[in-house]
Amino acid sequence: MRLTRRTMMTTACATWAGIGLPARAQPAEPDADEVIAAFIGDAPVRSDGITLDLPESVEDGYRVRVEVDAPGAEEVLLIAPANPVKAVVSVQFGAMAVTHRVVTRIRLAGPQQVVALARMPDGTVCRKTQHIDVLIGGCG
Amino acid sequence: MTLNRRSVLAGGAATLAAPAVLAQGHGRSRVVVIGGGAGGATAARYIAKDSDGGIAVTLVEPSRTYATCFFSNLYLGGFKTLRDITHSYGPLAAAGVNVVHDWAIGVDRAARTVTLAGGATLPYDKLILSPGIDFVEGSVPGWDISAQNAMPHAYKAGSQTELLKAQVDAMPEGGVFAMVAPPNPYRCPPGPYERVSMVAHVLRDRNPTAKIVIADPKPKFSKMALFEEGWARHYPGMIDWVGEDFGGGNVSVDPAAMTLDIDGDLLEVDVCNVIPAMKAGRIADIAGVTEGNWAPVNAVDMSSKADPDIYVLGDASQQGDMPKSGFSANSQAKVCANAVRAALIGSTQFPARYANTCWSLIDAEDGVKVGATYEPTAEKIARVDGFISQVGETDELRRATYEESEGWYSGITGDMFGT
Amino acid sequence: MATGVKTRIKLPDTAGAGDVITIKTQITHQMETGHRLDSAGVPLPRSIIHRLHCTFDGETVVDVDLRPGISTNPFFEFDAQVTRSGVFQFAWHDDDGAVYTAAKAISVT
Repeated sequence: MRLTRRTMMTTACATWAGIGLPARAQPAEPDADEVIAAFIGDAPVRSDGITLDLPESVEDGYRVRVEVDAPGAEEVLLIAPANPVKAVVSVQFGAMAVTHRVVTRIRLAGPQQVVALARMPDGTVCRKTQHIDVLIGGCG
Repeated sequence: MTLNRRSVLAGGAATLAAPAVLAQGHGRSRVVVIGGGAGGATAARYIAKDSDGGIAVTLVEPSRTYATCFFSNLYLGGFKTLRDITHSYGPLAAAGVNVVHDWAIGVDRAARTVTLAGGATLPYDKLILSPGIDFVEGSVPGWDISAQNAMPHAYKAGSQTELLKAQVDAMPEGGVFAMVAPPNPYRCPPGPYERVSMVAHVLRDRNPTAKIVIADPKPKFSKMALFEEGWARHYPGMIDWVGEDFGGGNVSVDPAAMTLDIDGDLLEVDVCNVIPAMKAGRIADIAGVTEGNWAPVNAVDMSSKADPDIYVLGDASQQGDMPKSGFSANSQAKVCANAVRAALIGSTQFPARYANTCWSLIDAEDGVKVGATYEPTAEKIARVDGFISQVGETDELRRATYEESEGWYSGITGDMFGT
Repeated sequence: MATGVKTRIKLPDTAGAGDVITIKTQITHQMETGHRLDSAGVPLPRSIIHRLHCTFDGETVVDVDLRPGISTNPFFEFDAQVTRSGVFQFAWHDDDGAVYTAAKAISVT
């Protein structure tokens, strides 16, 4: 699934990681369950076949390293349910991307269960969830 | 006129002679403090001031004057003079602290004595170590302390800071200022990035085509969102930060050739500010109270985990969540002073509470801050709650934050030196 | 078009046929989320890099769809198996319509 530009542009008013203002939700932004359901569709879901590597806790959510490994996957989607925009990134792998691995750095608005989904060539979806604690920023 | 205890002590302190040191204090409890910075000066002054002559306090500090590391970046940026950030130990002596300008070179924990380079031996009942930081040898390949004139660290304020400023001022048009940033943990987490801001401030006015490159072993740094926003706003395109993702920790330098290698890419640089990895000041090692690079302490009173008669303050200590900063050291010193007085003369010991704030200046009147309060737990000094400046704040708020930092500076230096 | 945009690519100059190489990419960009208010209380419009497309001689390696949850100065690391010499090309698509590009050749033996 690729979210349309229209969906992406209708944003909630909130903030990242203690850098701003209280959330002012707007109905057009799909919630995390909707984003996840849209990706999965009717596909069978399994819990193996994907790893999600991120820290257990971070001082602030400004720049958090995330690695998703999903051998064989056609596409992966990363969801941060406590963020104003739940879908964070999706990656489609071409034939050369034989490891189906991606690393990026993301913003997290608070402590939450980050979800990674991978669409496999056999029509199944692999799902992995990991909790991360996001503390308020300190000097360190 | 009857001379009271305090004026006698002050007179003795002014002579600074070793025999006078040894002669004074018999019959009274003796505290020796090594290191006259934010931790040591504060602890010495509070113990002397609050024990009303009941404790003889000797402060060992090699320098005759003290240039604060905090605000030394503002000197680089042209906002302060070196004189503004340099302080005399005179008022401390007047307050009853025996200030000895010498190097501590030995600690005999069994005999409870400190040996000075000048030959004197100081007995103590309680010893407070606040030696600040030393550099980890070999942490930046190609650099050692003998290269500090070609590639200054400027992480102990004074002549190194002057040298770095002179080098920035002498940069050729369109030249390159490079910084090798340190790995965690280190003195003043936002310090390197405030320094880059101040150098950029100078270059924007005098040398706007110059570039700044930061090689950083860390994936992120203190107040990163605030600095990145400020750099994009005030110094667009000038500052290039190379973090862990692009091999910012895989560096080496050649001080003779003035080159910096970042993960295989060789850069010719005009100024190279090398801030190596850090460890506790050497006397903590000599005293045998370190584990690895730092000295573990008990969170309730800053006493060493290795020796109940030794306390370690500030950057050298390993205490938990507090950043290594002047504010932290000053806060820890007051807890320690209270505990030392309670142990030696039975005064009331209050529950420890700690605080820290780190202010940083990004551009003229664009100040930001991060801070927290802390309490001791069984394991460590633990963060209770905190605050941080927000991106997108008004100019008025940023100016107020900067003014607050100036108020803090005069407050803490007054608290350290009794001025 | 944003000012001061700089792209950074890291991949080996050479590799053996069949090797799996690691590619690192970054572009300097504020990634304004669209959720922040300016000092007057007016929402700052969203302005992000919304797509990174990496190709090798025209063939897709990865096609990345970025949302505001990606950090300032978007970073991506991924792998590619190379069987012949060629050129990796990178295109970052900005909300304002700008497309920033970079390219790096690899020699495969």
